[in-house]
Amino acid sequence: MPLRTEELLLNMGPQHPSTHGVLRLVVTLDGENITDVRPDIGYLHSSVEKMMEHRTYVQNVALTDRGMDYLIALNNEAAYCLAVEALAGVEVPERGRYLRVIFQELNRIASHLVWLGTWGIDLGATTLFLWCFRERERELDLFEQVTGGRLHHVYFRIGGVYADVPDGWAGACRDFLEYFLPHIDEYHQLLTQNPIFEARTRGVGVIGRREAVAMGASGPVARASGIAYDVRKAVPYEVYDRLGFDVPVQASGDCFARYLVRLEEMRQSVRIIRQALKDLPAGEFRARVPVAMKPPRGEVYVRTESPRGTLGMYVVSDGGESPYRVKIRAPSFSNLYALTEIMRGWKIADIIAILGSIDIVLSDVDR
Amino acid sequence: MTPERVAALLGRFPHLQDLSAEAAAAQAQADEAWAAKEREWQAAAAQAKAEGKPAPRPLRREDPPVHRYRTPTFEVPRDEIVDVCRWLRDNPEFDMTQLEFVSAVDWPDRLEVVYLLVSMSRAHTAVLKVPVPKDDPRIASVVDVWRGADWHEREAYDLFGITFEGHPDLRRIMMSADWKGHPLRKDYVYEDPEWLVEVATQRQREIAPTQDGERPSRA
Repeated sequence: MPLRTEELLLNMGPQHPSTHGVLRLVVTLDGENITDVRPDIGYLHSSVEKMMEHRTYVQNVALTDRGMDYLIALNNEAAYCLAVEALAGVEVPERGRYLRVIFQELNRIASHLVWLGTWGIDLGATTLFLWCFRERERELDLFEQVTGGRLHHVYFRIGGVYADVPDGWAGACRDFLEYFLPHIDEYHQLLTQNPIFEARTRGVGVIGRREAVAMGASGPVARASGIAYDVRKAVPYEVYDRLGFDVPVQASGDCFARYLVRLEEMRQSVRIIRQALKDLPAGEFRARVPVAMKPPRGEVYVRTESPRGTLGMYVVSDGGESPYRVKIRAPSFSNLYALTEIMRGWKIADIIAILGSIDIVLSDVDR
Repeated sequence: MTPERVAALLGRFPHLQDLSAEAAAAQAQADEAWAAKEREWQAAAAQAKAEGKPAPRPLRREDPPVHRYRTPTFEVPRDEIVDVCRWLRDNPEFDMTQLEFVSAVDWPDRLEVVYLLVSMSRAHTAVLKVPVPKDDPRIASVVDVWRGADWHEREAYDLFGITFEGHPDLRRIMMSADWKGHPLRKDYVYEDPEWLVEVATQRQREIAPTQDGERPSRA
């Protein structure tokens, strides 16, 4: 009797622990090999762009926390504030800019820790999850002392930051960095030489340099494919041009390379925060901005380097109290597209490794 | 983008309109008119002072109605968009290898499709704008130029109702497939979808008390 074979249609998600949110993948399988992937997104579509058209410029800062990527609230706030400041011609005081850099980099570390921990769980490394969240907990305490929030801070304002850091906070932050830096080496010890981890990630989910560019990948995904591009270096905003840091690049373009890039990015963030704490000038931390601000008619596009890639804000003003149109260029949206396009040909178990290595947050993809 | 590159782009595609330059010129004109007004006022004030009269009322400047562009912005005719994009990508002087997004703005009289291009090697950015009429929102797809345009065009189709001709798989991406209307249009009014209303009414009927005030038994 001849063996009958046929393709299998597998529905993955929307509720699936490894999708990091609500993402549905309709996977066509030939045995264990993936022949086609059809991603279905939009389950977390909150239409934050529409909501922004009905609120004032100042109110919208709070929306960027919730409606966009919830793990990098401060980076979202920074992108939005920078765009409105450019539109209205607001000059941010030096202290405000340094504080913003410190908090954006702290948020980058927190976000990368969540990514590393959850990806570890995806690949079966449970210890990693506990370790990463232990460090992140101390970091969230640092946030809480200043902003009062742990995830949704609403700390940045158009023109600076809401409040100055309390006395002794800078010391506590330095202590945390001191404590955190050796832990990066621990992660390396735990994973980098680990044969199981290497087998699951090395040479898996390769995306080439040309493909990455053509499909709009950015951030660590692009840098792991040999694209030495970082918005903080290319078009410096805030005070990044005064701070020394390196942009880690890997050439191989696989999951392992993306992992190495992010671990090194955490180290560079520590470097940036240390310098910023050292140079932190005294003085005003916020410019005076009217509550009912009305930027002149016009439009602006501002790009920032969020932990997931290029986060862009395109804001159009018609001279009114609320923006006429806000377009959020979400990094996860393009990165997810790029990585699901290259999933064909890999094994089914690799889907989990590849998805985790993009570091997607579905509220960033769907907005 | 340097003035030489802008000149090269406009030389190759004469139908392009340099919106940022036009806005800058209009702004300069407004500034000049204001400066002239101020000089007039100062002369009047000096004269009043010499004659011992009270100074004239100080002037208040209102923002001129100029739409300012903080990024080099070009208006492209609808039928040239793919050529312009391909040329900008392939010309090493521009090297715009990355398409950041494709989206749209809903103005009262037109829809504007917005393309944001970035060059990683040249560190410059450009916005291309294509006005399309609201009753015929069609435009050629640029998926052949940048593969990454795929989902962005689907999003613009979903939320604005712009049809990208030549797109390999133009479906809704954020809203469900049976959704009516395009939410980011300014005239969009949210209505609960009919099937949702039906489900909700049915559920209401189930839990509502019966006529004599008793709840239906769940036996």
